[in-house]
Amino acid sequence: MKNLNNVFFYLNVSWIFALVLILFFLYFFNVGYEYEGSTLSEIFNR
Amino acid sequence: MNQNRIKIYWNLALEHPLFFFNAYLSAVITSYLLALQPKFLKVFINEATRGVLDSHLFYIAIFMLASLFLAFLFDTIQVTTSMVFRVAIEKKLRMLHYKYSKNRDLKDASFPIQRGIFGLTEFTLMTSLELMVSLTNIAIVLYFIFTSSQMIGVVVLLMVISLISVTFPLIKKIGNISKKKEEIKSMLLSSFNHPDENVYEDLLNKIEYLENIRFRMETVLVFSKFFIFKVSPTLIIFYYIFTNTKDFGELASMFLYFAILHQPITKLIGIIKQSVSFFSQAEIFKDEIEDAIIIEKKLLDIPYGLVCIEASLDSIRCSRIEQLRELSKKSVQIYFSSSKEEINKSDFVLTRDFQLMTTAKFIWNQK
Repeated sequence: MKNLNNVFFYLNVSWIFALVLILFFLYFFNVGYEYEGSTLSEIFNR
Repeated sequence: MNQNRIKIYWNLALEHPLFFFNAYLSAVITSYLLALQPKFLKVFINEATRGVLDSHLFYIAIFMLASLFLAFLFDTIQVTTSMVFRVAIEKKLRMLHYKYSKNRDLKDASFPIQRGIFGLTEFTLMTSLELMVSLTNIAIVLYFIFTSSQMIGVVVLLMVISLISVTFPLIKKIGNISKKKEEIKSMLLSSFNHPDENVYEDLLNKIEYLENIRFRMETVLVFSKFFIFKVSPTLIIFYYIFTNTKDFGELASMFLYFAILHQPITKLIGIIKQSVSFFSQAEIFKDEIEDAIIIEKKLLDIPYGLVCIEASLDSIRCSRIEQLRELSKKSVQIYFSSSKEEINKSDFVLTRDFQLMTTAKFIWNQK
């Protein structure tokens, strides 16, 4: 498994990157973005 | 296929829980984000027909793009993890084969080393991770269809279940036919110099007959897939006319759901097909590998570490004993004996040809 260290490094970095991005996504989807007083998640469930 | 066998390979896959759940989790997130796309389309169409500001539509499109990008990111994570996972399993199987293989002859060992172990690795991955991922994919898409329309959801669920239950026995039969065909092909070779011409012709006719049956079975498969994925979305239009719904976003998203559902189901059928063929490829030596997996697991589970070595082994290589200690990762008690009663007391026996086996199996061999 030592030979795969660079792959593990890549995996760790991409997990952190992906988690940060998905938190941003969820924030804007549920809270951040509003149109005519309703958030996107509310528009989705209409 | 034996239920117990699947369990062996499933446990082998679970020896790397971090890889397993990492790959699984990222695959689930990917399929969830992809299944969101039709929902985005639905919202986009409904908002557009309502006559909202262009900037609002633009933001919905941006969100759609962002979720696609995230799906791609998690997909690459899943692919990378699966690659590492595959490497780990293949290395483990190769080591087990090397350590415990009874056939040390190069002509017996060459097939497993060159092709067979790769096949078993694929089989392990397919029956564990990939099977779980494709089933979850199907479940997620069905959930989205269900939230759109409960009735269509139930109908699609029933169709998927019937497709899978039709596919399983058919694929098994197709596999058997291919196997029979291979047997007849080898008979063709041996009867090439037969004085009676009819023998050869009979065999050719048998192949023709088998091909005919296989064609019929594959036609059933192709037709049922065509019906579910191509015909039933069109039938949904009639459902919308019948219920007099004007929700065009919903209608468009339903078509997309069917398109998304196509991929995991094709994958699931592929998994069944390929794992059968990989498994039969490994026919010659898979018992050996399975024994090795079981022995290694038992060795790691020895509660107090008692290993008996047949006393007739005059020149036991010390390295072998050290290897044993290392393998079990415990302070293994090793003693030498030729008396059967004493051998019975131990958990494991190292036999004349340096094979490690459980006492139960050793006694069985003695008979």
